[in-house]
Amino acid sequence: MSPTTGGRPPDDAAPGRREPIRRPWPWVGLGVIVLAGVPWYLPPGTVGPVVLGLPLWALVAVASSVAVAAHLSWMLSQLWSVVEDDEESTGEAAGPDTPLDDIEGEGYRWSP
Amino acid sequence: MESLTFSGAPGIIVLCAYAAVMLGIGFWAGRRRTDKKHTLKSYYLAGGNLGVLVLFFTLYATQYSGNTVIGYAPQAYREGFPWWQSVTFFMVITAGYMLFAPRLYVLAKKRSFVTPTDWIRHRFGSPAVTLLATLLMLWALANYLLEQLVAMGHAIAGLTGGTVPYQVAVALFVCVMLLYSWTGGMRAVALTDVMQGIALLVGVALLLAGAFYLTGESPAGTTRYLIENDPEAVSSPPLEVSVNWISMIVMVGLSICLYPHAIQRIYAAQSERALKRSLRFLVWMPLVTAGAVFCVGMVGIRLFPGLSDGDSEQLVGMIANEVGAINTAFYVAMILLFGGVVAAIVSTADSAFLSLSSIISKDVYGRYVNPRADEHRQVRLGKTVGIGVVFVLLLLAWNPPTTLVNIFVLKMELLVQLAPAFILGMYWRRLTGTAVFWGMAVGVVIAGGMTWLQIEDVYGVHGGIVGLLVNVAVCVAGSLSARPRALRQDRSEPEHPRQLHEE
Repeated sequence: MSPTTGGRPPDDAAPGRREPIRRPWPWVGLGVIVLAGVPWYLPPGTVGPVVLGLPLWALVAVASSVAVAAHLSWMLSQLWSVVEDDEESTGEAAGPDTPLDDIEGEGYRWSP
Repeated sequence: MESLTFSGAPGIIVLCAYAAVMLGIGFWAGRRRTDKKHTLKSYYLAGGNLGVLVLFFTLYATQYSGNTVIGYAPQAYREGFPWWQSVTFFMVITAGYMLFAPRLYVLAKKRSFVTPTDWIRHRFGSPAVTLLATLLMLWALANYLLEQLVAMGHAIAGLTGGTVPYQVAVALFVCVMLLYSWTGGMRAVALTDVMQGIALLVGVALLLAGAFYLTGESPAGTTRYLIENDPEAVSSPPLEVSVNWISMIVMVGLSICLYPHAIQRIYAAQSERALKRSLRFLVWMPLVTAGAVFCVGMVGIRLFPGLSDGDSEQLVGMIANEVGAINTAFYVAMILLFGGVVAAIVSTADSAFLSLSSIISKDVYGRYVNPRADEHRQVRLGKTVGIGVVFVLLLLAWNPPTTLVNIFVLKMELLVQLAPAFILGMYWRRLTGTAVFWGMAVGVVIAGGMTWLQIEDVYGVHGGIVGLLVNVAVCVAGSLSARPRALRQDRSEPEHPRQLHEE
């Protein structure tokens, strides 16, 4: 990526490398789930029908929280793998020799 | 917190037992280390070798302090169902980690980072940005530590029914905390966090069980009671409260993960897999911690209706008293709860103390005062000065300067101003140190100024978020308007691999 193309993460990652920031839609989904749990869409003072022992809007808020946890858990397991494969295959944590050229190599050099 | 009138000697025994276990773990952790002299990494990051279980508990115990129980239940009592936001905002902290931790973990391992400032220095190569970030982190940590010291005194005095006076209680437990932190560093802190985290979890579960036992009805029955007698607690809030709810989620999500001790737990992870797995456990914990405390607050409305704001602060103590009076089993359970609360406070305080010491060791002493000092000397100096800072904070905790109270509440509002340096800086190559410096400074002035002037929010949006929006705007505008030039990279000096020459 050219250093002047703005805030998008670089798309020259090493093959197999996964970072949550590279996938916009899961973040959009997270925002939607969080917003759905906040009753901004209801007139103030609404109690509404009681479902499963809770006012419906409160039940939606609780369901939203559970969905947030499930969604984040999924993002952690599916969208994040930078050096996991290397560490698991070598049995050692990342260290001074870990190649990171796509993260901090050329990209940090400014164009003259 | 209201004193537990049934307490006294049993409370002292429980506290002594907790203290003995903490000290035992600390000494054991200190003896297990293989190096004869502490290095920065071995002392402050447990050698970068924390596995899933310990990492999870240390993240958990550090994130949830005693205030999560003592302060959040009354908050739920006063605000009603909108305080469910506390569950979501604790979850979203994990999202905050995901914005920068995947890269920061690898960079930290590769470049041997010890403090969060190491990243700032590495990325921007700017002494001004580094110094400002260091000051912000020290401020937030000292502030956080002060809050824990005050809470610790109240909790212990409450648990022992005043048998142990507030000042003595704080001094004793601070000594315990300092002893095991001194001996074992991060390894001791993380291992005691396992015990402290379990104590908090068990304590909250027992409190909730006791509270529902007292009402003698199901959760649905409590909701019915609230709808009939306190409909405001269960009705949807005004739009401004909803905006405030969203603003709180954003602010907590972006700031708690930037606490220096939180970042150092990323560095301390044994592997990427260990870090991911511990975060996957952590993301569910708000349901059984903040969620349970929220339920206690709602049951409190049923048990003690009509408390004033001031009186409601005593809610947990009042419920614990009632629960403890049910029978011997609940009596013991409530003693354990308060022990758990104290343990939770200590576990948060020790992490903040250790992180504060590390910044003093490496970023202040090792960089500005005595750059030629070896790592062992830096560690020793950081620990010693850290203890001095704790005792100054103790004096402040005992004699809080009333005129500065508003400024002392500033933590997240200031810390969130570091977000562009960590998140934008991690991915946007054009972000410049100058823009980050001015963005951070303007954000701090706005957030601090609003707090100083007692302006809590703007249409529900917190001062910290208002400051952050301006901060980001300054970062983007400043970076785009700077004319980039080539920079030299000297890979033989990893501390200064890239000096950005900006115009």
